[in-house]
Amino acid sequence: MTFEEYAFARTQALIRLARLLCGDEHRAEDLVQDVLAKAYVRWGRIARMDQPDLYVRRMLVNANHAWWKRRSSRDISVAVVADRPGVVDAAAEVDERDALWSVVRALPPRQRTVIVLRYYEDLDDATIAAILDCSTGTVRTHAKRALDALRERRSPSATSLGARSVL
Amino acid sequence: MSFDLEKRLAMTLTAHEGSAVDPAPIVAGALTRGRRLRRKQRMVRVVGVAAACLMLAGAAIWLPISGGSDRAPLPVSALLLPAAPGEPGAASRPDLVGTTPGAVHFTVDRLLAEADYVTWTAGRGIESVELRGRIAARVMLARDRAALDEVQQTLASSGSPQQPVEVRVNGRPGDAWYDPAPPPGGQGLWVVRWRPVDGLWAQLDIHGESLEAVIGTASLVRFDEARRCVVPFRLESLPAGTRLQGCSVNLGLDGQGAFAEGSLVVGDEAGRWLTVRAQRVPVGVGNAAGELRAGPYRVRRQGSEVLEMTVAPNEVEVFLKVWGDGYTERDGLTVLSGYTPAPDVDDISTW
Repeated sequence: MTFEEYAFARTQALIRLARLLCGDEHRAEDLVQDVLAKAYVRWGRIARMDQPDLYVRRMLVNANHAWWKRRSSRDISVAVVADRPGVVDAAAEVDERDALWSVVRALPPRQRTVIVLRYYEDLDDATIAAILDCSTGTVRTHAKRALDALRERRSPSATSLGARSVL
Repeated sequence: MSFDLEKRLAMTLTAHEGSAVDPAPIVAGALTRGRRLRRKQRMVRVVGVAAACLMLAGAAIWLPISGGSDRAPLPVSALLLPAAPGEPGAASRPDLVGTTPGAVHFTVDRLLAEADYVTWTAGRGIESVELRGRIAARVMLARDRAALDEVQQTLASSGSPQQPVEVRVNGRPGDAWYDPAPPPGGQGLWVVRWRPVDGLWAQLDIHGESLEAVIGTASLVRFDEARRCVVPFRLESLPAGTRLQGCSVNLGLDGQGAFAEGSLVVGDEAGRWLTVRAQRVPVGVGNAAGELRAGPYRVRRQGSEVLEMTVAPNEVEVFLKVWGDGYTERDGLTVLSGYTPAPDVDDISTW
């Protein structure tokens, strides 16, 4: 597969992943273009790898984390979301998803990355570990912490009006 | 609760993945930046090598130097497909072009000296070769002009082609148009489309500046011989009604051997198709384990759309989606069960 074939076939998917990782449409496109430019330089080697796409996704995740590291520390305010069992209408469903998305966006970068790779990309923990260059145990730890945080922020006991700093 | 949250997470993330974007400008920008990065790296490497040469020259005065590279560099001929004796070239049988995955009915021997990698493709109405290295070009053949229109462009451009001009390639009629380089610069894309013989269309896409040079390159494409499109594996077990439709092989000069990657597309009359791809991987890379079995092989799922297995020195994948459609995982396993490697991946005559 040539670089161009790969890039044309996978750019859409990489941008969707980048949007979920960084939460910003324009930065997502910048990240993907930057990563593809670097992948182009090494394409001879990447194309020979057992899973070139896995490697490129790893580059993307690392680029996103590097951006977060470079960024000056900043708090993100996130509305606390209550569980709403029994919600049936579509508008409420959308509200619920938007609220949950806000909480996901507020997770620390590595936790959010694990959540996105696991529940959006549908990757197993071993593959996520390969992308993050860590052990599967670390992946599970990030996932557990993220899920705990999401549950806590969605539970009625945690419900309160206003916002809370999560970073 | 956990299942509910996980389900909601999947739905939430999917709902926020955003709308579709046109990949062309992003890929074009990546190519421009990538080329700039590569030029910079080469410059650094040249300076480094020059410095090292100076040091070595000095050291050679008193140090005996023996040995050398443990592997001879591959000749340019390693980028060529094997001859297809008895198969006519496109000039005499244009009606055969694109009809078989087993052969390309043209050759580009005189352009290979500029290439480090080539990708040959045959079947499904089109034959092509893409060259990469000091040259960035693609030559395509088809029996009708519309087939060429449908092929996705792989070389970067601004996407704003200028008005075509009439040209002649080796005396045959055609036209050419220029598509400027995408910002912030670089080489624009020339496309030359001509009719080497009646009933045959050829197209050259190439990065370059001068129309004369581009016409000169187009005139080097030969249509008087055919070559076998081969990959270093066979598929001996296909689902009922399925036959080979396409072949693609990527050969390069800077790897462990010339073979870098090969794909076969199989499909049926109902429009189902899938792609089997073998990619050479470094020694020690790969995974013999897998939760599925296909004949003698252990197979792993890569998401829900790709099956993969390691058959050294290659990683073998079956694409059920994107580069396939309609076949089930069971069909993919049937295909993989009949995967048979060529006797010698480094000897193209055995493929």
